[in-house]
Amino acid sequence: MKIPTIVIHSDPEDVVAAVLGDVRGVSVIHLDELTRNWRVQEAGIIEPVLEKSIPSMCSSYIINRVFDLSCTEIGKRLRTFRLHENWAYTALGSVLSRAHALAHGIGPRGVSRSLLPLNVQWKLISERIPDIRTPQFAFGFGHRMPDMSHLDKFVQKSVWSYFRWNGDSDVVEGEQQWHPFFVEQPQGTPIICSYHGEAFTLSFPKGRPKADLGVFPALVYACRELFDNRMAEILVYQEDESLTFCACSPYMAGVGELREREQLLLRGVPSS
Amino acid sequence: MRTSIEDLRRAIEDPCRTVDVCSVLLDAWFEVAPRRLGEALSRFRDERLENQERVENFERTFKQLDAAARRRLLGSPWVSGFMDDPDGVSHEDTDGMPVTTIEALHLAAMAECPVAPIHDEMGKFHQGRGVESPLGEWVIRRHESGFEKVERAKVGGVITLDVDSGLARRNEPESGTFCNPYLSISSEELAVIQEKLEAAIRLVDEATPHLGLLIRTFTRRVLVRKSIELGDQASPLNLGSEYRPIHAGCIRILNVHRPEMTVDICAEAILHESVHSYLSAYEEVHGKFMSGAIRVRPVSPWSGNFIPNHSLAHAVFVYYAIHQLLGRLVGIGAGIGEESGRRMKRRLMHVAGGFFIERKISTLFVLESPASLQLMAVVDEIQEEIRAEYSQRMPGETPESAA
Repeated sequence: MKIPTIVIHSDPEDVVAAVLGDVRGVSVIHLDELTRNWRVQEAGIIEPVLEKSIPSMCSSYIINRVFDLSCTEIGKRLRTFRLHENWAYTALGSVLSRAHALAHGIGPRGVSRSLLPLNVQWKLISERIPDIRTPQFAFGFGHRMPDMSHLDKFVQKSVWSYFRWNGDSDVVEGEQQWHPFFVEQPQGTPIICSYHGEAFTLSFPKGRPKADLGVFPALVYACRELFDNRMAEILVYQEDESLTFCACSPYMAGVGELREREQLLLRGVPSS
Repeated sequence: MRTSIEDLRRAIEDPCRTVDVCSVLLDAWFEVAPRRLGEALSRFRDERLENQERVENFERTFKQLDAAARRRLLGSPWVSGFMDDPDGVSHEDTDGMPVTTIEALHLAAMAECPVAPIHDEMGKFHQGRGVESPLGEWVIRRHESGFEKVERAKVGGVITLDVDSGLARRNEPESGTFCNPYLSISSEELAVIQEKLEAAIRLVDEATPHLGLLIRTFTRRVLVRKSIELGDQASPLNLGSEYRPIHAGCIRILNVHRPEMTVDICAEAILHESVHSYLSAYEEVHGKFMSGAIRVRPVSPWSGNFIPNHSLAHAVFVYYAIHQLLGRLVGIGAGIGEESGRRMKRRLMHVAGGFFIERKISTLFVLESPASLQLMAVVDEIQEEIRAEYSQRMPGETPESAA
């Protein structure tokens, strides 16, 4: 029997929240609802006060999709009181501490393992799966441009943008000149692996390649472990016999397009 | 006696240990400094024929120095500046002419000679370049009527306040502070700066005297850069500070003349950069904490910025020390005024917030080769200690009915 599941999301457009919104046994809560009565004060620790209407987190499986606080009410209050956002994540962590399991880590990007920069993902995955390739890149420091002489057909990318690889600029304001990041575009055929727990499904936006796809169970396992993501999408490129790992994204932006989206998301819910 | 990484932590936390740890470390630093300078000079001499004479000139002067003068020279930025870039330019002289690092080193040594600065050897060599003591406490300035020896102001009794030397005017594109323009500081502004920095060190002394001692042991000169006029608008105003090991013992602070740069912010900046200097001294003696490679970098849990692994290791000790300072200041009040008190409480929570992440800080490092187990253990212990301080105040979830 699947255990009760709660989706907590910070993005009003969150795809997983939308897919699971009407599913029996799953509660979906926006972070603003959860934090409505939290006590936030200047130079103080945040006290998470919970309303009775919020389902109990105790022994539930929490799909915690709080990847960004900037557009949330709690984020606004943090800015008002100039409090470090870690205090909000700490309060969230205390609320979720009695859950059966969490889908993702808790914390801001770069600090939470669920939201690592691309080049850190590449380093960790290539250490774990030596046969897989990762893109060549160059990373500047501050305003200093990196040496790009070893790169061929490269683009400037955001180190935080996991799934934009079509060469269009995904560099947000400020990133152009600050820690500039350049990447060789991967060659071959893209494959997206959407997974939840041990369940996964593959999709082929540009056609199915002929090669052996048996590496995916190990890749899913590695991403769950390394990136603290029980649920994510993995983008790889297949060229000849080799696979290039591009990213593991907890945002699940493409899951809404999958025919079996609801089944996939429910199959990954742990059993009691 | 060897300083361990645990000692580095203890000196910050336990006032009874600070004197011992700091003095042992400083002595060890002065033991390795001449050997490392000798090696750097030897390499430099062997590189090109014309370097031989330069090195010999320096060595001839060095031999004339007594033990105290040699120590002053070795503790100066001219030695670390030369070792960092033996073929490079140190700074520009008052006429805008570049002074190489070997020239700067030689000039500093000559300034310590008992007969300097009127030594014959200095004559033409010093034209337009002034004569300055290695640690910058005094400078000989040329006037139409002759020479005048000017003592620079000191803060905290021993730290030279330098707003106008070649070093203080230096342009460094890769620096966070010295990439900003250099504007000259008036005597009125200098008085404000001195008073503010003095008050800042008093604040540290009052709250955490052992950290005042650490500052005085590892900071010999504070370089203040003015990059914006008093009345000019800038948003955000750059109030940064910095320590770069290329100039050992010198900390840099921006725009102290501005009212936005308050005494409490200055106190934090001085302690912050002095802890970097303290840790760098340890690394000079015992080897780097870890590689300074920057190809893959962790994210700082304090700023959210990409920083090198090595800087993250420093940051843990720096914020540990600042947490001590701010925690004590907030606790004792220290007559700092309501606005300063509020600001310090906010800063204290920000500093503590960096330690409140779900992971151990040791797991944030992204290294090519394994880090020192001792360093990782100390980093995690520091995080645990800070977290434990707040654990009593950490709420569990509170149901609405009990609220």
